[in-house]
Amino acid sequence: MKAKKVLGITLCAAMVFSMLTGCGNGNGNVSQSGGSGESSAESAGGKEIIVWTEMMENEAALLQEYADKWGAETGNKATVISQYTDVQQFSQAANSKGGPDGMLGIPNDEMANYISANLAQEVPADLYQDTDFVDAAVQACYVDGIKYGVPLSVETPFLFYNTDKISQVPATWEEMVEAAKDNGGIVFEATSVYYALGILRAYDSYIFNYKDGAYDTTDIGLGDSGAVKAYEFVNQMATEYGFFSSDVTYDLAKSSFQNGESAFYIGGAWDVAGFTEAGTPFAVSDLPTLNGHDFVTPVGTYVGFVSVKSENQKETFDFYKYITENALPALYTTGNRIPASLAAQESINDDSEVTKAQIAQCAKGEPLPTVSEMGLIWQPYSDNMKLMFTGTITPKEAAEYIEAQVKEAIELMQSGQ
Amino acid sequence: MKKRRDIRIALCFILPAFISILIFTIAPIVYTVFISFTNYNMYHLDDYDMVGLANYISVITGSISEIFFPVLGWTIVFAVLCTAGGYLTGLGLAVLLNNPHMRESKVYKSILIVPWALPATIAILSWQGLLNESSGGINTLLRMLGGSGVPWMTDVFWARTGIIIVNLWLGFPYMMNVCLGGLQSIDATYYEAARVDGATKWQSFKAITFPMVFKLSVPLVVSNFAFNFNNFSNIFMITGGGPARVGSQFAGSTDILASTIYKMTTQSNRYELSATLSVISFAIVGTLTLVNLQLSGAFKEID
Repeated sequence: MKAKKVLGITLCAAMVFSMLTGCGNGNGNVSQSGGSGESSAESAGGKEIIVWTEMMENEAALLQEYADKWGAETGNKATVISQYTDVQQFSQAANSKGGPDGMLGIPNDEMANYISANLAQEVPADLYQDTDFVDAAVQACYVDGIKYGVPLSVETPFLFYNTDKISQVPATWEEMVEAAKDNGGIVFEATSVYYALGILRAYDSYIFNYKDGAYDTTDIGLGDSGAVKAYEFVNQMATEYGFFSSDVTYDLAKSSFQNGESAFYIGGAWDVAGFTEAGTPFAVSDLPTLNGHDFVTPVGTYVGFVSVKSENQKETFDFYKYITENALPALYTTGNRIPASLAAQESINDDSEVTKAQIAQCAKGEPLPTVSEMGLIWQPYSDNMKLMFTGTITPKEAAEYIEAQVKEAIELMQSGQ
Repeated sequence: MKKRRDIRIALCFILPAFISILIFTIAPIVYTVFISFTNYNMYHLDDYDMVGLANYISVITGSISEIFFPVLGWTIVFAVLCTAGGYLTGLGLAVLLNNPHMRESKVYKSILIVPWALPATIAILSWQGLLNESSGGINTLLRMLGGSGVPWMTDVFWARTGIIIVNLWLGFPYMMNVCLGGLQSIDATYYEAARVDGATKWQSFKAITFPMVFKLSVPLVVSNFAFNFNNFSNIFMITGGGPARVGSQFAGSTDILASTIYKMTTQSNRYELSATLSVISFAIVGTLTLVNLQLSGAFKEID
């Protein structure tokens, strides 16, 4: 009798125990998996840091190589983990053991949320000189006058044209539209504010007004009279010339150019490999002027920031500094990313047309606002562009709705403060 | 004495299941309810406080209240059509496959079970490709046959139709299996008696097959309704809630309650509102489920 009872209890305990430890191990594995170098020997007194990156797998592997080099020089150990994440997930992970000390390689507009959530540590003033980097990249690292980010690389969309259809790059958008009319058209993801920024800027509109080193999120330009003109221009391309329709996506636009159907395409370095592989006859250039203005494209800056929760902030910043000083040319070779540092830009000394077009276009670009409110623009913008392309609403109504909806979303977000 | 020991042993066996339910089901529910009474969001990840009913009040008076009823209406239509459609399709096919003269019925069964056996995410992605307006398989086929393409993504009616078709395709094999099981449990003597009395096939289906199978499958149909009510992934992955509804950014024309909540609260990182809306949505589904069970007589004692 008693023996059975003991056996029963023991079994129970064993089951519970194995279940709990099972969970424990599972979690442990998750937090450690992805770390490429599980190298054993820990140098005496060395600090261990873990950084997450949203760059591609091959770029993460490259960063790890440099992390190992940095580790060998300093006696510390750095692990780079490829991990797409969001504020909530990062915050929970950063609180726990084995969590990240920071993120290295995320777009600057995404960093804004981490700053709003008080997760990003201010960059020490002497870590890097602003003048050593591209202007747009530096601007992207500041929020309300405080520097949170370490810039790594910049990217911006530029113009592709089909050399079978077009022999010379038009000097203006107006000429480009003429040339494209009976020739396959101009395609891009026209429902995304990312590609439309230049059109808005050409008509003196803007997303958030940038004044005295900060974005004023109460001053939204997307509903003003310039924006209406910009929407009219896009709408004309969609409905009158039929260059694209309301279901246009990045993939559709890309494949239309890749198949040789369209004459012009606005895309980025990330498209080059696909077109080369498919044998599309193409050349690249920076974008022509529109309405007499330089065409502004959003310069996305990949940045690194250090978590306020990190116990090794000094080492993490030191590692970031090492990366910006040493790894940027290699990052260009591996991932086609234009270095944000001027010295690295010179050192790559590449005369490829793609790089030239991108650097030329970057000079005309501006960063996407590093504010959390930027994340609320995408949905209202694309919703209303789609409705406009199907003829459900007019450009003027689109402007009104976009402004009202962006305000509504900002209000919803900020009322949580 | 013996009884008490039995209970202890039983407890030991039930404990693993109980603990896992506690950890993976009860705890998250309690946590969600708890969060709905705090101000836990992007601005207050570490320093959140209890705020009482503030979230519930702001939800009821906030921007969701304007679109709440249109969205709820479509959600109910969607859940009813998907559940009833899936059930009727499944039942119809089950009756056909249950025919003892159909020797190759196993082959058909295996083929018809495919939508269920495929990982849903992959199947949904394929459907997303098929429904694409300009390059999708369905429209390409229609154009080859001389028709014009269907505006699956840009027209409200067709977008909703498309979503329901996909959901039916994903859902009927389960219902078919349920009904096949039910059909096999019906005693053949009932049908013999009906034949002797001169009943037609339709009459015996109406009087014997349907009532007996339905009685067995009520709990499954009701839980399927609750599942479809929150069936977020198809909509999210195929239309993304689109086509857009004029004047509303959170609720597209195909957005159900769950996907509207998702859009509203994740973009702005308002986790506390997300939790609040989840609790409200749970109350709605819970009520509807109770009503359904009551109406279908599942609570009645079976003699």
